[in-house]
Amino acid sequence: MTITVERRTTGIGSLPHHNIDAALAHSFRMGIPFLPQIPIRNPWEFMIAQALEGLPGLEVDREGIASLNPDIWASRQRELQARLERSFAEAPRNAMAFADFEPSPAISSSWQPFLWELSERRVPHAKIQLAGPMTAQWALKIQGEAPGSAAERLPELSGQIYRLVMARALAMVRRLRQSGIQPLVFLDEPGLYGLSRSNPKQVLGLQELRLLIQTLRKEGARVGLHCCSNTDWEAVLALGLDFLSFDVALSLENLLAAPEALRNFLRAGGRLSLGVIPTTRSAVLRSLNVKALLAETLDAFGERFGEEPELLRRTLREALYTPACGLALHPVSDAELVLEALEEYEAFCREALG
Amino acid sequence: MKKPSLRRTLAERILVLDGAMGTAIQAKELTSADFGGEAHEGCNEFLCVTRPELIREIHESYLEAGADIIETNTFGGTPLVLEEYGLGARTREINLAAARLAREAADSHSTPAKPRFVAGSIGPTTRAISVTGGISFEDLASNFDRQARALIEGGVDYLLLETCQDTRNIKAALLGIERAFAAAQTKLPIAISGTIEASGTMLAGQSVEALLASVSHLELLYIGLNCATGPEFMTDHLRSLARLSPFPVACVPNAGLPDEHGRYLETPGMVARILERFVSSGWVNVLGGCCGTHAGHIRELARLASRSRPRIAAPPRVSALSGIDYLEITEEMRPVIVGERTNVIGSRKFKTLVCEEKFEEAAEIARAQIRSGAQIVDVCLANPDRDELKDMRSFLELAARKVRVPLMIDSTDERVIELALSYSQGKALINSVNLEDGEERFEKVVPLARRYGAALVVGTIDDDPNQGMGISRARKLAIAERSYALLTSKYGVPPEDIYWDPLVFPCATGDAQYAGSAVETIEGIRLIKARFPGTKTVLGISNVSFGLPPAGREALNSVFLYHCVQAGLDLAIVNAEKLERYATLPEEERGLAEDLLYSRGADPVAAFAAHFREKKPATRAVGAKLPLLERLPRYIVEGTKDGLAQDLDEALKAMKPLEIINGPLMAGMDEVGRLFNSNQLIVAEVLQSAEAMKAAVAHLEPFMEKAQSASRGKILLATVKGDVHDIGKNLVEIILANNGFEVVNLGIKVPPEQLIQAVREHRPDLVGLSGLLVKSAQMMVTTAEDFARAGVDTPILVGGAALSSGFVDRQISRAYTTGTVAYASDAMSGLDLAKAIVNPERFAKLKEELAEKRAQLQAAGGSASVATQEAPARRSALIEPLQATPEPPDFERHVLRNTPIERIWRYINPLMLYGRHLGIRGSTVRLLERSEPAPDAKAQRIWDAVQEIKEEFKGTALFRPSAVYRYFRASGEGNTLSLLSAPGGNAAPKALASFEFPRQRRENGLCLADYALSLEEQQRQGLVDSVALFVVTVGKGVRALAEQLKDRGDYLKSHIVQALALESAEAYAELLHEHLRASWGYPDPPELTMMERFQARYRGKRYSFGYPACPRLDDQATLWKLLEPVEIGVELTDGFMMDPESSVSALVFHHPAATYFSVGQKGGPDDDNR
Repeated sequence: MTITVERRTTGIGSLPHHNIDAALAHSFRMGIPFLPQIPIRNPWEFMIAQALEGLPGLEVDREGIASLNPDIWASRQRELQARLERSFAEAPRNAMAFADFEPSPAISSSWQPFLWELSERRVPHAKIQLAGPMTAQWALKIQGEAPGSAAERLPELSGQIYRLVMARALAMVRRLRQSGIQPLVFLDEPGLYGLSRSNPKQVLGLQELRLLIQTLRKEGARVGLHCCSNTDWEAVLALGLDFLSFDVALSLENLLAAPEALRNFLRAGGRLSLGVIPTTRSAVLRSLNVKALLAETLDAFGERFGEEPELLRRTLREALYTPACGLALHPVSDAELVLEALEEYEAFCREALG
Repeated sequence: MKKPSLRRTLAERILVLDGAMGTAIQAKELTSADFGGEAHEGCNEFLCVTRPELIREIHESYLEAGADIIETNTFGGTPLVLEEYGLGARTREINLAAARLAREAADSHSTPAKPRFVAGSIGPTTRAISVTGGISFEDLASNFDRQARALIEGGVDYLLLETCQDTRNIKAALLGIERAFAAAQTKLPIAISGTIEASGTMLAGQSVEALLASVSHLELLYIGLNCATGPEFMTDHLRSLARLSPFPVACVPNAGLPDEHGRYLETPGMVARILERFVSSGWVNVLGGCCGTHAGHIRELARLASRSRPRIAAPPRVSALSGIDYLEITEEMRPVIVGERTNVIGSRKFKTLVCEEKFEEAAEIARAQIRSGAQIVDVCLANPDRDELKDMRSFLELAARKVRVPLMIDSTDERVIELALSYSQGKALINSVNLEDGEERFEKVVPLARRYGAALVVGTIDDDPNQGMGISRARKLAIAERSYALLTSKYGVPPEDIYWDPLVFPCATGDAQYAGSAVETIEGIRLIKARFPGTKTVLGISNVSFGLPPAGREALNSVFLYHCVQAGLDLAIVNAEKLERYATLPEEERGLAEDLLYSRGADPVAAFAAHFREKKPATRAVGAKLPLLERLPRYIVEGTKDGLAQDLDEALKAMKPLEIINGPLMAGMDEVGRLFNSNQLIVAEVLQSAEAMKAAVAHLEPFMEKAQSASRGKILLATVKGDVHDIGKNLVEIILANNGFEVVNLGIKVPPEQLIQAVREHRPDLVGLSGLLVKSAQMMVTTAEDFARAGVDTPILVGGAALSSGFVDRQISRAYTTGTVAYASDAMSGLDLAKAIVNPERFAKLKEELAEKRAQLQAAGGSASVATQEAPARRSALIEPLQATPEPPDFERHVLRNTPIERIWRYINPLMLYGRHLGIRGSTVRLLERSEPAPDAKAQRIWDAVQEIKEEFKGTALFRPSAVYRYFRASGEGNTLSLLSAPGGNAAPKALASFEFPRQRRENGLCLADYALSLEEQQRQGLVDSVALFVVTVGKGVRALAEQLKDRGDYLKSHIVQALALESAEAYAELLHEHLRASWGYPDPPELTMMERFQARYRGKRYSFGYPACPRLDDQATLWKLLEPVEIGVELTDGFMMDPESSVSALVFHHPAATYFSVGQKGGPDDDNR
């Protein structure tokens, strides 16, 4: 897979802006523009709510914590199920089958503006991101109970969440494709933090994730997965992803600890999306030594892949560069600093790699 | 002295009308005695009788200022208005006195070189018949008649219908004036001046184009615009008028809009500067001033007129119609659709509603047609069993307000036609006239068309005794030629107002005389259009399919329409709701229809009818039975659960649950993936497979062994104070609980004191702290310190995205002097650590390892800090200090509450509202903006929905705009912009506030402070530099309304309301910014289009905090202190967001080099892509 862009920078997703225009302006300054999520406007723009909008009985508090009212869900879930089934049944012959599942402005104030800007600017690639089904299932709770309680208590719920996330992702991918834009879909799965392959539910979750990735790829999307914590990287690398996105400072070492899986992933055409700029305090950002940061990363890779300079070179040349995490909870001025550092990093990187 | 004619003078130079009469009188601060008593107080017209010298004085002041034309003081001189002061009976006296006063004043200043003229001013009365009602058309005409008679008698040079807000009022006035001319046996020129409100239309809804189309049948002295707004806002309307008008054009603006104290804000210089742009663009023949203008304004305008050339009219000849909306019939838009369902002959539903006198519902049919694409509505109420005149009145009384498109009045009764014309604001189309009875019908109907301004449908029927109706193409043309000669030469009908109807006959009734008639009609169109290219054609399409099975009628109509349009048809009368698209018809159906139309084949009617009686269904199949280990994967592959549970139970007899999952079930999933990849399964089927797999796992789970029955230990879990992210923590909980730990989950945002209390209460073996945010890492340090201070020594496990082992080792472990801290990089390592901590031996070893590692770290010297790379606070050499600065009119705080929302909506960037927010393609938005039909129904629906929402909510609190702004003296030093006290006196300027802006980190990096001169520069050059701050707001309560709409399931409307509010606020910011530029003394050039304005192609820029050049959102707080926008209802939230959200705040610079930039390293001018 080739992504030809002048700059290989993009964002994680969330931004601190209060204004759609400003958020879009930030996004479009990246090499690959990304769909901004701006939860300061509306807690429904936090990732779980955004992925699960449409689930009957879904509630979101000011902090973005999603919970489910089980009674409402039980009384109305069949409507959603019927809509989902209808859409999936129509999907092969109806390009608009998932149109109903596109994010509404209530959960993504930027979606329509983003699409429009992409089409007007004739941008070839765009990145969108959505909470992955495993995280969505594990995060959703019944009010007053522990996270994950919703899927635990309501056996049919997890299947519906899976379908809903898939329908939303497909809706977004199709919409981008119809506009002539190559979509990069990143599934945000911080929930993989607790991944265990001895847990059958999680094994099943991985299978579902694999199918989702496969489905999105068949629709013409390039699929990435962002996990901003450490996890069972071997299992994740085997999911058939196009991109693996992670926080370099936090996870590079752990990822490199699975060299064979990583090598196989890269040789099969997988790419890394490196969260190279720490999303840290303003003072740290202002004093960030980008060159030193790059040197650290190169050293870390060099230790494991020093004997395969071509693979290493290609990996870093074809990688995407991002902030380590979303920026919603930072000031706008920090977002500017992060963007600045990211551009600098990418430029140094290009210089270093030739 | 022989005075040159008004028309000739107007052709030679720009004439100047006088300024405001009303505000001039107001300035005299008169008492009731001046008005002849309290009962008449406020009746300015009566002053012509009670204080003639005062009115004369005002006239004189304007004449002395250079006005060529003065208006009589008779704006409210109809009996209707005068009667409000009990003066209706004195109409003649007042108007006569006014006319004579003006006449005398004008004559006394008139010279051969500069003749002065008198315009007999006729205002719109207090009723707009289409809007307020309350008066009949006839009564209104009679009012105007009485006023006009007196003005004519008083010697005015022409009659000026001014401040026209409703074209039906104009039509009534014209009728009245026609009678007055007849009575006086004279004829004076007439001029019309419309008032375009901020909405972009007249009060009754017509645009300037529609107004022009409605009155273009007259020989007007001139047509123009006056009142309502300042000159700037007239730009687009005046441009349109100048492009289309065959008459001279007048521009008579207000001196801007008044502020909250009623002060008109535009000075003579400002008004003249803007009008100069109009004049130099060649748009104007008459200049003048309306409300708020005085002799000073007229003096400036006279100067401008004396050095300028008048507009020379060269308008294109167009076939235009109008209702409330304007419709130009152009080649590109063919065929224009005429809705046929409001016709009692063609629509049973409509006929029934009319018979039941349900006119409201009947009028809705007209609206439904428009929604479905009709651009003209045919109205026929000729039911022989009813009173057509009465029905037409009842129907149009309602429909005229609901239907914006032009009307096609379909009647054979000229009384009905005249009545209907009096209900149309615009230029309607009369359907129809013909020569069936010789010229009789022409004689009755054509004069009506000329009087009211209507176009004519002319049928190709004549008085031939053998065959009146033209069936063959040659006969159609012959009748058209005869009609054309009569209409254009004898009746003076312009060719562009002729719409030929070459007649359509049923092609499948078996009637021999109509055999082949369809193709004759098609070819007839071609011949007529070739012979009379300036005319148009119209056809009632559906007649062609009369008598055929209903299923086929729409297909045949569609194909017939297609061929007619190819031949040149302009207007098609069809059922807009059922019109099939030719392109979507199957090839076979098109062929059958064409055979029928062109009479091809043996029996095309039979073949056509047979085809449309056929229909077809569809089916699906299932799979088979296999041995158990093969059946299990098949359940997954086939995505079925039927029998799955029994087979799993069967498998459990020989296998462990995990073996079944990882064996046959996973094999099934792998096969699903393979089949999906090779396109043998579709997504829906894959999902069924996943569901089957899930059901299988759920069934097997209860049979799995528990990890351990007794508790391994107790752990307290919490997300630290200030953080709400708990996914990681919750997964740790799941993992630990599944591995025998007892977990007490304290939730999110847990402060140290609560944790300490919980430790004391639960006595856990370890505490797990989690957090996603960077600040959470700091909070863990604080929590560890508090634990130590409280004497807690329970081991702590920390984890989260913002943590690294280095931070834990260097910071948290040092803070936790009483206990052990371990870092869990993920949930599984957390489990390992937890297991180690509850095992004394392993815990001791862990402590040793941690201590050793941390000691090494300390020896290595900890973290190194890197020097900051702040850019020097030095003015960029790219921004040259100005040698002259514009002067704001004042430094006071202004509050605006009366800006009409319609005016603001004109400044909405359609690409943002319809494109960005509502998802319509840019190219489609541009089509819709030009009132062209959208290529897709969805776009049109959204467009219409926005218009409906505007209508529904305008005037409500939801869209009640307000603004606060103020200019500040300002200076820029380094990266600091200081706002200073207003200049004046000798005191040194006092700093009111300052903003620190970031600077681009590169050579000559930009900073907003560069756009203001330093105080030293100002003092050296004797200048005062300034900036402006403003806050505008529009949508109070929008969010609540949007929520309500969403709850009701009205998602689109909810979205539109929010998007409209947001873009209205942006539009208001654009409008106010334009005003600020003009007040600074540099108005936008006239040729600046709205689109260029949206692209900020003007001098100076406005910046909102939180954007790339000034990213610190907390600067909003300073702005709030300075402007106090709370007064206009805008609050600042804790996060410095504005509430209502549909508000815009900005800092405005006038520097010509101001540009949008980012403070990022790579950023440069225009970097933020605005």
